[in-house]
Amino acid sequence: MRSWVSQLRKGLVELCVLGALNDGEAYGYEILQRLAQADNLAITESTVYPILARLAKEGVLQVRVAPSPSGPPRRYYRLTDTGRARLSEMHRYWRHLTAAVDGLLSGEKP
Amino acid sequence: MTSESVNPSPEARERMDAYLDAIERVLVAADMPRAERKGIADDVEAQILEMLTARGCATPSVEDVGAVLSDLDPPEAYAEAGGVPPASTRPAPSPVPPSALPRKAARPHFSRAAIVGACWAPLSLALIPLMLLVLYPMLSYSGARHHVSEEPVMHVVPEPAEPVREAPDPATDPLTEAELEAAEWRALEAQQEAGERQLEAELKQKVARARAEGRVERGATLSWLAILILGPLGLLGLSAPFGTTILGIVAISHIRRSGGRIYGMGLALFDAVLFPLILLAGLIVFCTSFLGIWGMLVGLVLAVVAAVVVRLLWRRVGAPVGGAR
Repeated sequence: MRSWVSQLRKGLVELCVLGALNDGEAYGYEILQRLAQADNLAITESTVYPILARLAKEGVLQVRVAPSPSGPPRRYYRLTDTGRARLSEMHRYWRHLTAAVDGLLSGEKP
Repeated sequence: MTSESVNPSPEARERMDAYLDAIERVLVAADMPRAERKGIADDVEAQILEMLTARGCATPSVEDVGAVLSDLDPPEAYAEAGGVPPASTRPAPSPVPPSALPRKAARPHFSRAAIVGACWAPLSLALIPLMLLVLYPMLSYSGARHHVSEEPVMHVVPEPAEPVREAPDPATDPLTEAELEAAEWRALEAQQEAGERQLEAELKQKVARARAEGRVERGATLSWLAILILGPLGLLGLSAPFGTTILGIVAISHIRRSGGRIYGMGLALFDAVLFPLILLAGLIVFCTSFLGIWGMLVGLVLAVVAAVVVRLLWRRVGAPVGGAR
């Protein structure tokens, strides 16, 4: 069960990170805090930061470095057009998937 | 969020750096590019300082840093670089054990399919001189053996110009010129037949001697060897046009989907279009050589179509998914 939950979360991280940035740009720790507001997600920094780096490399996110009052400069991430398109596509697929799974579990025919 | 800047003590800074270094080592082991590693390290450092700020530590001690780090994932959790670590277990940061290091991720590499395709292609061309080299002695041997055949040789004896009559008696019936000629013919035929029988007997003896000395067996082995060598080579050479083209297409597909981990698009495209273009060139030559003016027109159209197709292909595969070239 734990393995299944872990795999499920793993597959959803990218969608959740993109969703967290849908409200506007944010730096790493701020994104973590936005994700922490969602119960049961349990997504931590060792998962989020590598994904942020990968998405930035893929051009899905744009990075802006700005000074921070607490120490080193912060890296602010925001969705690019590609990122918004990917989020929209993933969101649409997620809706279809959850509807299909819900229907299956409740015994309804698709 | 406070606007107060955090200045950790040297010991606290050292503790932080040790944690960041441990993460760096894990990411290096996972073959993550340097730019991404730096981005992750910056994010983690900013988070630590942010958390220290939130705790109200203007000059955090080693204990403060230790307390913050204990709330963070252990460095080895970065091994999966995108996976979700078990949230329930958050041990204090510790040096990364070798067993926790991930299996090495694939480094960017040249497309193997493209290389194999490129090696396969010239095999079909190299096969021609190779076949000649191997076939020539085989054919020579076969020709030589044909002369030393055990089968009785059928000779075509020319028919005499006229039917042979019974030998006349020279005393009572003087010989005509034609009869004399026929008699000479018969003598010649008898001599030829005797010579052929002798030659056949000699040849049979030679064959028997060659068998006894093992020369005939060696010749047979040689031909089997030639077949064994030529068979696979011939198959490889004949399949090269299909194999190279298919491997080229496969390589293009791999490169485009690899997100930059596989490169070599030029060679892959070369593999994919080499034999189709050779075929097309042959068709153009045929059209222009044998079909007159209409053939020339068709050849010209084919050449233009080929150029356009190659150009389009190059553009299509040259806009790779994930920036792969």
